[in-house]
Formats: sequence, structure tokens, C-alpha cells
Amino acid sequence: MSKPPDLVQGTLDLLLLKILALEPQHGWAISQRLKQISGDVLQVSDGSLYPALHKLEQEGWITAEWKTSELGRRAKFYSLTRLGRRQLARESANWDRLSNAISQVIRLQES
Amino acid sequence: MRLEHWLYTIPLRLRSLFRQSQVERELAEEFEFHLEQRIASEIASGATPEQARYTALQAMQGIEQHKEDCRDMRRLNWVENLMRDLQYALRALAKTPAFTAVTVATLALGIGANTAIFSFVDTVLLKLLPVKDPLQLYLVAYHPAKPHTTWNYPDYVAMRNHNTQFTGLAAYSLSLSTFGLQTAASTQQAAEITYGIFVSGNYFDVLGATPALGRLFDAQDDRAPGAAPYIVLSYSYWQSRFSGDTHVIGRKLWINGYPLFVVGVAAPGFTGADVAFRPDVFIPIMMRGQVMHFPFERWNNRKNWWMAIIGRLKPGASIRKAEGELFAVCKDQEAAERRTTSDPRWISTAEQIVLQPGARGYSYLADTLHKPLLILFVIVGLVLLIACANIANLMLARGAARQREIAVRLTLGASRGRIVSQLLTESVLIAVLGGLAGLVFALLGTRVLASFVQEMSWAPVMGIRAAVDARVFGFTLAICILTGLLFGIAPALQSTRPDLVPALKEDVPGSTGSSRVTLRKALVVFQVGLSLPLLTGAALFARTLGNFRALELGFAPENVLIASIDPAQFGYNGQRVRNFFDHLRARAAALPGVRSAALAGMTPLSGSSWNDIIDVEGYTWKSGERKTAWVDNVGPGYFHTLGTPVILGREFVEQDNPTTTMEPARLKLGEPPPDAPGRHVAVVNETFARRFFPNRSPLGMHVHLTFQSPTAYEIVGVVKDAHYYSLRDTTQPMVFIPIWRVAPQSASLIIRTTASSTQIAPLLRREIKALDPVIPLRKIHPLTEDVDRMILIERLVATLSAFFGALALLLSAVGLYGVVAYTVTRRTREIGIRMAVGAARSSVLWLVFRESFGMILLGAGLGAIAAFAATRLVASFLFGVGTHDPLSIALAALALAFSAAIASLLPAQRAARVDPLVALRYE
Repeated sequence: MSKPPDLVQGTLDLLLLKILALEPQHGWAISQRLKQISGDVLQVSDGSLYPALHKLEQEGWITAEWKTSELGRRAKFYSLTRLGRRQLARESANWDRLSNAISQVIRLQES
Repeated sequence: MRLEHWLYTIPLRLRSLFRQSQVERELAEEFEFHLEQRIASEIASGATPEQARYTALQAMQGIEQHKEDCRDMRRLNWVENLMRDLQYALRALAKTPAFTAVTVATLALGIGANTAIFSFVDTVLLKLLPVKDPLQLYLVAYHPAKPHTTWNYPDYVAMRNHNTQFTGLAAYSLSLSTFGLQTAASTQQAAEITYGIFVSGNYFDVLGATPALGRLFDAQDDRAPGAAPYIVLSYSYWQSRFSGDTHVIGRKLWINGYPLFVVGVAAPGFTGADVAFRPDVFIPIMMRGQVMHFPFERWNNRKNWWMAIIGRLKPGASIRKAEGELFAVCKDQEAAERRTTSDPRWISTAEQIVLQPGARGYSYLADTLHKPLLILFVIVGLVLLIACANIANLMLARGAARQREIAVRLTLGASRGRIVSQLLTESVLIAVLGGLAGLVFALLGTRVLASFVQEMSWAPVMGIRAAVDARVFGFTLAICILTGLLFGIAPALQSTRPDLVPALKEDVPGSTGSSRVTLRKALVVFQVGLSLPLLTGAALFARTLGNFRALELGFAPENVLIASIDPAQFGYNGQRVRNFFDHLRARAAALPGVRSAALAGMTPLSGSSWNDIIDVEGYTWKSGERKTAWVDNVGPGYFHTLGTPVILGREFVEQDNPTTTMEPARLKLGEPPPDAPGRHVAVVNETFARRFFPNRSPLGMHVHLTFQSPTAYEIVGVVKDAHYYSLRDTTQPMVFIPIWRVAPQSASLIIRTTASSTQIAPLLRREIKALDPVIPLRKIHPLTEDVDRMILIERLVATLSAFFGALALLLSAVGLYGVVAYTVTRRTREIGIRMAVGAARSSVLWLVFRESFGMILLGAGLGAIAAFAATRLVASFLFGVGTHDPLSIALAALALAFSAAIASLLPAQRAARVDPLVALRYE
């Protein structure tokens, strides 16, 4: 599977879960939102978004539903499940711990 | 948490599996939507539609690859792949019907044979008794090597009452009793034969058996002798004899003339604790005196050893502690007997108590089958391996034919793993097809085995029943998959080797196959190497059987029938028994076609035995010499009827019997019986005469039978040695005494006639009926049957090993033929060149033969080493032939060489006929 090279392993899952926690979205909207909120820093190639979504769906963290989009076109909307919410909490905590630790190390070097 | 996970994922997986096209459509639609949105947004920011489309596709970077990644995420690829592989395999097999037929047929034989043998191995060695918690059951034995221990009633009662580790100890008669059954009190109606056992009151309870109808026995039925006139029927007997009539409960049945009330029917499938018996009826031990006309006082002692003890250990109980407790009880019993008995020689002593696992039940019959079954299992296992090698060989040849197809697929990017798994799917499919066909063969095989086993049993309710059930089916399936992988893996790896890709560029058949040929040759060597021990075994067993057949028996079993009748069952004893048999013998002798008739207490090779401690006039015992001899009581004309030559003196005449007959009731155990007056005469066998009277005639000398009579017997005749107990042992000293010197109980009638048992039986029944209408003819069988039964195991092993040896030979020959034919084709050009430069046809023939003999020689050499090591394991089955019998190995090698010659002949001839011109142009 092709992975976005500029994302730390596993962080894509966290970002997708976080975005979907706000509201159910289809793939295109997710990719736009990702770009928009990270200020174009985090770029995920269009294609590699979908295998990641399908993986989350298979894990039971998100679930998909075909609905009519804003433009009147049928689209596959993903939303967070209860399991996904739990997973998000876990991964956020992990991320906090990791980023804190890294910040500590970096500060150590400066002093 | 886990559950919730499955809640989401299972529907998804099912959907991807069964709604595959819809899932695919949705996947395409999802990507399409993304693409459209992208294009729309590009256009919105000012691009032309063409530009927008280009940029959008660019951003997606290979839609198909992403789609494949999405499919991978579904993690169901392997199932889809398997389905696809199966379809592909079916198509491929259908395209080569000859290959499919040969491989499936080979496997059907190989797997079928394994299934058939396994069904017996399962029944005899593995299956647990169909009772509650069988693993808690233990048999009480006094020797670790003999679970087949018999006990007496007082010891059983003492053990039952004094132990803390068992929830219950039950007893049952170890051998099956033959009863005469009547459904009404009658002196005119002939009794039917039925088979049953005596059981303690708690027997069903300890085994955890439940009634299908009515009640089973309980502790109340153990209270007092004669106080439990009840009978329980087995389910199958209730069905077959009473048509499942529920009114049977409460009915009176006369067993050996004694009335018993039917109280219940055991649950279906319950046959007791012996896997080889399926008793029709169960009777309380307390009724043994009434039913057998054998009073309680006479068997409630430590002399009468006849029953087995089985117990259910409490959960968490200690086996060691239980053994200790029971042993203490036995020692107490012994000490008590010592205080009341004058003759210490009669006191039985136990040296230890051993609890034997009883979960599988115990059966003498099953026990004798253990080793032969394991040998047969090894044999069929080897045959299956040979079959696997054969099929692997065929698959390699097929792989060669499909080389280009596989090379194309490899070049087009198929992974090696996928192609290997596809080829393996194909071989497992072949194996499963073979296994299914093999089940038919297995059903046939179990029938053959069952008929052999049935011969071991003297009653229709005895024998091992093996069925192809779910367990056996599971075993077959496992074997199929295993063999499929076994014969498939090497060819699959071989034909997908990356260096085979150049095959694409070339067009010469087999030009890249040198490693393939090596592998194929190795497989043939392997086959030959396995075949040799099999053939050696077959030769050893065949020679063993031949030696048995050529054995001098000491009697002529052909045209001799043995009839068993048991008037004592119906209360006859003493003079009445003697009169009955004397009259019956006279009537039988007068029947048409009967040359002579005689009576005997015991017939040769019948399985009964009797020995006594002897003293011989004028003979001093060497120290350590066993003072025992075998004894038999026989009537006038016995040796003449049996065909045993009288060497010296004479055989018995009517006057040798005592004039007064002893009544068994007057016999006391522990003391020599009272002696009937008259001249005591005996006949001895040659071994007896040679051993004790090496330098003089034994006639007129005396022999004393310690436990038989206080009076010594005068020897009046010497007869030729005969095998009475086994065909393997050398003959022991034997003494014959006149039949009615022994208190009469039962006897066999021996008839020499050219008529068959089925012709004689009705005539004999008529004569019996004239003497007493109630007494049934228990059984009539040819003496040859007894002889055959002695070598039943040897016959079974010899027959099956010959069959499987031949099969192995055939498979090896086919394998060899395949390889030789293939190499001849490959070397056509080389042979052409050789012939073009003047090689003679004979040297070309030699070229081919040399190759195949090389394989045979190597295989046979390796096989001989294996055979040398393995035949020691079958030593106990051999007779008159050593385990390292050079002749047998030579015979096996010769058979292999002969089949190799035949297998190479056709390809060799084809090679010799090669036209150099054609061969050189060949390409």
C-alpha cells in the first residue's frame, strides 16, 4: 500500500478519526478539510486516502453510508462509531504523550 | 469490546464475500465521485475541462493500484483467491481427464486403505466407551501387563465395601455366557440361544448407563443369592427379538429353564465395558447359581475366578492410594483363607494391584488386534506415501507441460506465492476427490476386515464393529489435505522456479528440465525404497503362513465337525449328563454319512486348557523341572475320529470308563475329588513318552495326576504329538484319561463325516430333540475353523500385506515407467546422434535399462537397509522364518527388478526404434 511519506506512521488514522468526529463526511470533503485545517502542511495524496478509510471501516471504527451530497450527487459518507470514538480517545492520548516527550527532548537540547 | 468489533466487521466481511459485484461497483463509484469533485474544483479555479481532468488523474496517481489497496483492506482476498483457484483447478483437471482419473484412482486406493484401517484403529485403540465420563473408569488388575484379570466373588465384595477412592466398584463376567432362552415354561419347546453376562447390582450405575425402558439393576439386586430374579435386555436385542414391544417389561423369560422377570431395557448403544461383546441380556450376579445350576456356595469362594472389576474413581482421587487400599483388602482376604484352609497350595495370592485405564473398555479380542492393526496402519501409510510420490511424479510431468503457461504468468507479474498456492489448491482438490472415491473403497475394506475379525469370535454378538463415522471422515479429510500438500509442494515449487522464465524463449520440450529429472528420479528411488520393505514384509508373512499350513498338526482336521451341546445348562448332572452324551454319540455315529463319532472334554485348538501337577513312575525330577502336564478327558474312538495315530498300545474303549458316575455336587474345592472305582488307565503323547521313558516302553507304567485322582493311572497307549493349545509352541507332555473319569459337566461331540456342518446340523438337532426337546444345539463347526482361527492374525496380515505389496509394486513400476519414458523423449536427439554414428540398437536398449536399473538398485539398497531395521518389529508375527530372512529380501528385490524390466521395456524399445534422421530433425 502506498503511504503518504510525510506523515508519521499511524497519524493518518488519528487525523481521519478526528475529522470524522466533527461530522460525517465523504472522501473528497475529508481530503479538503485535512488540507484546510492543517494549513496545507499535511498533504495526503488523493488516492491513498481511500485505502486508509477502508481500513478504518474494516476495523469497525467508522461506518459508511450512501447519501445524497450537497450537490445532489450520491456519495459515500463515513461517520464515527462508538468503537471509533474510543479509539480516537486512545490515539489522541498516545499522540499527546509522544509529542510531549519529543518536545521535552528538544527543549533539553536547547538549554 | 471484541463482540462489538465483530458486530461491525462481520456484516462487512460477508458483504465483500457474497455481494462482491456490488462492493466493486461502490468502490468504483466512490473513486468516480472523488474524481468529479476534483475536476469541478479545478474548473472553478480557472482550468479548462481537459486540464482539470489531467490534473485530477495526476493527483490520484494510479486509481487501479489504490483500488487494489482498498480490496486488500477488506482482508478477504484469500477467500476470493481460493474460490478462483478452485474454479481454475477444476477447469485444469477437466482438461486432462486421463491424468485426473489416474491420480484420483491411485489416491482412492491409498486413502481408502488408510480410512479402512483407521476405522478399526479408532474402534480398537482410540474410541472411548459410550458411557458417562469414561476417563474416570479403571479396571482392577493384579498385573501391569494383564488388564485381562479375573476375580472371585468374595474378593470383589470385600474391595467394593472397603475403599475410599471410588464412587463405585462394579463386577461383571469377563466372558460371554451362552444361555438357552424360552418365552414360556415348557419341556417341549426348544430353547433359543442368547448371549449375556452376569453383572453386579451397581454395574449400570458405575458405568453411568441409563434405561431406555423400565429400570436397570441397583444395589438391592446384590442382597442375597437367588433374590433378584430379574433380567435387563440390550436395546438391540429388545428391537430384534421383541420388536421393540414395550409390554416386554414385567414379562417372564426362562433362562436355562429358570424364570426371570424383564425389568428394563438398556439405552441404545450401551453394550457394557467390553468393546468386543454386545450382550443380549444382563443378569444379576446373585442369579448365577439359579441360572447356571451352579449353587452360590460353590462359587462364593476364592477358587472361582471369573469376573472383571471396573471402578469409577472419585474426582481428584489418587490412583496410588486406591491401589494400596485394594491391595490391603486382597491381603486380608488371603490371610482369612489361610486360617481356614489346610492346603496352602490352593491359596491364590496377589502380588500387587494395578489400576488400568478403563476408558476404552477392555477386550481380549481387541487386545489381540492392537499390534496387527498398527502394522497394517504402517503398511497402508507407506502405500499412501508411495502413491504420493507417484502423483508428485505425474504432477512434475504435467508441470513440464504447463511450463510456458506458468512462465507467462510469472512474467506478467503474478507472484510466485500466488501461483504456488494455486498449484497446491489443484493438488489438494485432487486429493479430496481421491479421498471421496476412497471412502467407497474404505467401506469395502472395512467389510473385508470385519469378516476377518468376525472369524475370531465364536458368537454372533462378538466382534469389532467399525463404521465410517464422523471421526473417520475427519481423519480422511485431514489425510486428503496432508497428502495434497505433500505431493503438490515439490512440483509446485519446481515449476515456479524463477530461473524457468527463460523457458518462454525456447521451444525445445524439456530443455530446461534437468533438475526436474533429478527430482523425478529421486521420487522413483524413494518409491522403490519404500516398496522393498513392504514386499519383504509380504514375503515374510507369506512364508510364515506357508509354514503354518505345512505344519504337522498331529490330527486331521479336514472332514471333522465339532458340536457343542450343554445339557448341564438345564440342570443335568452326573449320570444324566453321561447318559445324554453316550446316547447322543451312538445316534450321531449312526447318522448317514458319518464315519465315526467320539466325545471329548476338550478339543484341540479350542482355546480351553487343563493342566495338572504330575508324578511319573520311575522318573526322578531334575531340579527346577516343571512337574506339570496337559490333561484331556476323551471318549472311546476319540483318536480314531480325530485322525491322531496311535503309536503304541491302544486307545480307550467303553470299559475304561468307571461303572459309577461321580456327581459334581459331591466335589469339594480344595480337595482331590472322591475316586470312582475301577481300573485307571491313561494314554500319553509321544513327548510324554520320550521325556519320562527315554529308554523303555511307557506301557504298564503309572502316572499320578495330583488334583485329579488319588489313584495313579496306568499307561495303555502312546499317541502321536498334536497341537492342542497353539501352533507356535512345541508340544508339551500330555496325558489323556477316559472321559467319565471326570465328573461329567459338558462335552463336545466330534464327528468325522464328509457332510458339511449345515447338512449335519438338522439331523443332529433331531437326535438331540429325541433325547430332550428343550436342549439346543449350541454350535456346530468344522475343526478346520479352529485351526484357521489360530492363525487368523497371520492370515489377515499376510493377505493384506500381499495386496498392498502388489499395489506398491504396481505404483513403483508406473512411476519408473513415467520417468524412463520421459527421459527417452528428452534424449531422442542424443540417441539419434549415437545411432547415426553407429551405435547398435542393443547398446541403445542397454542405455535405457542401465538408467532404470540404476534407480532400482539405489532404491532397493536403501530399502533393504530399512527392511533390515523394520522387520524386527514384526518378529512376533513370524513363524519358521527369521526376521532377517535373506530369501524374503531377495524375493522382494527380484519382484522389483522384474517389474522394473517390464516398466523400462516399452520406452527402451521406443528408443531403439528411433530413426536417426527423424531424431536429428526433431525440434
